[in-house]
Amino acid sequence: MSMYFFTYRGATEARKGAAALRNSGVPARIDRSPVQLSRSGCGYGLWIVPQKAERAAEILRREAPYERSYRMDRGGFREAPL
Amino acid sequence: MIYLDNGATTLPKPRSVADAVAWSIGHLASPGRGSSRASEEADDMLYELRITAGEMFSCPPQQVILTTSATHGLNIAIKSLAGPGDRVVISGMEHNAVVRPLFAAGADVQVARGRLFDSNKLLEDFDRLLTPGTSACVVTHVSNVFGWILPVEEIAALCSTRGIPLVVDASQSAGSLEVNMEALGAAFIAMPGHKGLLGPQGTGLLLCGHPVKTILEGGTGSLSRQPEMPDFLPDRLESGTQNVPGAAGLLAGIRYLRRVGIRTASERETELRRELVRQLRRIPGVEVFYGENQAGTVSFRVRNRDCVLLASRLAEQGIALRAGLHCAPLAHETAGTLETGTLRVSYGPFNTRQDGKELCRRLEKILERPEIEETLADHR
Repeated sequence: MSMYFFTYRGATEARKGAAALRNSGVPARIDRSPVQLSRSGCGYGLWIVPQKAERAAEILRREAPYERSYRMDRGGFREAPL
Repeated sequence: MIYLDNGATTLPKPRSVADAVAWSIGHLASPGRGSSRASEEADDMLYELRITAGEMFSCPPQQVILTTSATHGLNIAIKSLAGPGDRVVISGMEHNAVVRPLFAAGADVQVARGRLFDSNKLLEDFDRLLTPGTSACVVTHVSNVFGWILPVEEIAALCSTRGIPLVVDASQSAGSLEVNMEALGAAFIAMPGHKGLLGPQGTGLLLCGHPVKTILEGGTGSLSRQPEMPDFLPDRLESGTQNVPGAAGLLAGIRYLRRVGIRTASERETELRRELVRQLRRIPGVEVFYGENQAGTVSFRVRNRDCVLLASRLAEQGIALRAGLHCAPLAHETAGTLETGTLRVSYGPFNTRQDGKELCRRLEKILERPEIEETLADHR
């Protein structure tokens, strides 16, 4: 069981990403970034299921570029560049 | 009351605006500050506002900044572009929301004065003054005093070919005329939310197409560990909790406007203004300022009558309009009305033909008696 988390610095950009994914039929949920991922303090991100992560990254790079992508599993977060 | 002061703020607002404000007060928390549903819904609503306004004005959503007023937006725009000694060219129709920030910034202000309702003369003046080394050009889309629609597209073209950043004050045009950020290539467009866009007072939008300086710093719910403001929009310009009820009302106002259609609303107001000009011109002693390219606003004055006293008499009879200098002494100076001021009628989406007729009827009645008698009668 794992999830991907694409990070953004601001809420508006994250919402733009969520809208782009929604328009392409990729489900995503906006959330505040976990503290451990917010190197600069307070950020936002999109949760994506692993099966859709590659597709989501492709759409987001084009429509609303994200900062980093992480994979979360039982061991916690690790950076997972897509 | 017959309300003819929509240039100050539209009244009444659509019912949906009041409903949205009330709903947000009961349901929405602080945006960008929590993970609760109420906080997320507040963020969703703000994003929806940016999207909706962005579509209306051809501007990416993250470049749509929530402000408290057009004045707030103009301050950000002007102070991002002009510092002490910087040359800035403005039109002769500018409001103090432009003139005062430029004065405070210590800019070297050059006025393309033109002549009232003469777009060609105005363009000649801009063409002459927009020289190399000009830091910015600031121009109102529609004069708040006279309703003159300035040739903003042509001024934008002059700025574009000369590489001069353009700031457009859309206070009297947003919601009434097409305002297109992309087509104008403007650095900034500032507008109130509570006039043509039908939102609540205390709201405004700034469309940003140029790097900005902050005039207010604080929490944004983003990059909290760094002491400097975020370098991305909208966060860079939106520190502190946004006016969520105001934004909800503004979103409802813009949606209402989109349903009605900007062109429909604008044509209606222009027709009402034309008819009023015809009626006012028939009243002896009344001088009406009208011309080509005029929106739904008209100014007039009456020979040997103080415009403020006349407005007070009209107010007593249930007619709300605005008299004086309208915070735009430069516009009055350009038109030659600085010493007398004018009375201004500004139509909105809920006015009817009957409103203009009533104004003229009551004005004629007031003018039947000498000013002193009218004034004394008021104090008995």
